[in-house]
Amino acid sequence: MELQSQVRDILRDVLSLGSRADGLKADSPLLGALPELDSMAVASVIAAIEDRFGFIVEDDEISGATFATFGSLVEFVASKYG
Amino acid sequence: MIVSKPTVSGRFLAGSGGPLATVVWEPPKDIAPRFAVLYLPPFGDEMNRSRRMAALQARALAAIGGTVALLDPRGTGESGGDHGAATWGGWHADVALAWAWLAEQSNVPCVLWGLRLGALLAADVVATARAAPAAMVLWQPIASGRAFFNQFLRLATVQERVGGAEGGADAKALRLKLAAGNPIEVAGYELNPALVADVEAKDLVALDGSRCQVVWREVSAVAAPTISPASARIASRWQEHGAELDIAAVSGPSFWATQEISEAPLLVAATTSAIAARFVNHAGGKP
Repeated sequence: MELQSQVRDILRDVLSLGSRADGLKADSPLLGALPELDSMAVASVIAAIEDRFGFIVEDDEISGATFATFGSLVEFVASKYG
Repeated sequence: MIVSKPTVSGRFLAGSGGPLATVVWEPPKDIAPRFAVLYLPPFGDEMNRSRRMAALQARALAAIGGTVALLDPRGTGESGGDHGAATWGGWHADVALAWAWLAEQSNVPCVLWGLRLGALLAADVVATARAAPAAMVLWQPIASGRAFFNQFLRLATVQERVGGAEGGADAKALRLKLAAGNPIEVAGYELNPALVADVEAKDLVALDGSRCQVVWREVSAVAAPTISPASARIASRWQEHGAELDIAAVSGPSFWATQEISEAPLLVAATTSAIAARFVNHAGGKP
């Protein structure tokens, strides 16, 4: 849960979502659903995740599926961080 | 009553890689100099985006008795030299020169202050300098040089693709060029392969953080910010090795990265009070 709220805050910060970030649930779609999340923003989100948790994401580790939903992104972070 | 204000002037130092541009903030005439600060900026566009915050912090420190020099290392900003010729060792030399110049100005404790890659440079200088400064201030330090350049290449290549450059650079091709010892150009910056190699070999956690007091500040957009797990891990490792470390997070925007120039006033306030506590309020008392 802790991880989930940290990922939520990263999205809030990088994408300037404000209170809209509070509504994100595990099955909330991200790519295609958040207009702020273009490819540039995806790179910024990955960078923010790397900085916060202190791991490195290789380019071939991520795909559209990673950013499909809020839950899939949290799961990805958990798998790297855990 | 007339209250005198900090003054600011530009100055070029004679660096080994060409003229070194500094902007120097000095205390008001009626305030005795208590400490000197040398600021090391972040890399690339981050340097330009954070100029305003650097100036705000410098003015705030000058107002309490600081002589603050904002440095453009060689190949950046107004300083001489090509960006593509800049190396980590060259930047070390620039820091040493500007630090020596500051020390000549007055006999007060010196503080190294850096933002992002500038903070990693500050920590690396402190770890390797013959004599350590009185303190270092780390703002949102880069923890891993390798992660940093990964992000820089990734962001820049995405930017180029979004910008419409068909078949634009991809990070793997750039990596291959670097590995072959060739300079690359990313987002308008020419990068020396030696610079990238040197930075990528740096990890904050492996540097000696115990040679001077450390004031480490992070910003986060949330209302009740917490230190990131990555920073907490490094801080506790440094403390195990005897570092005297004051780490905290304050609320504010990622001003070095935002498209619009933004400010984090709480970061300035938190930094100013940390410096005041060490070099102003207890001047003469604490070493």
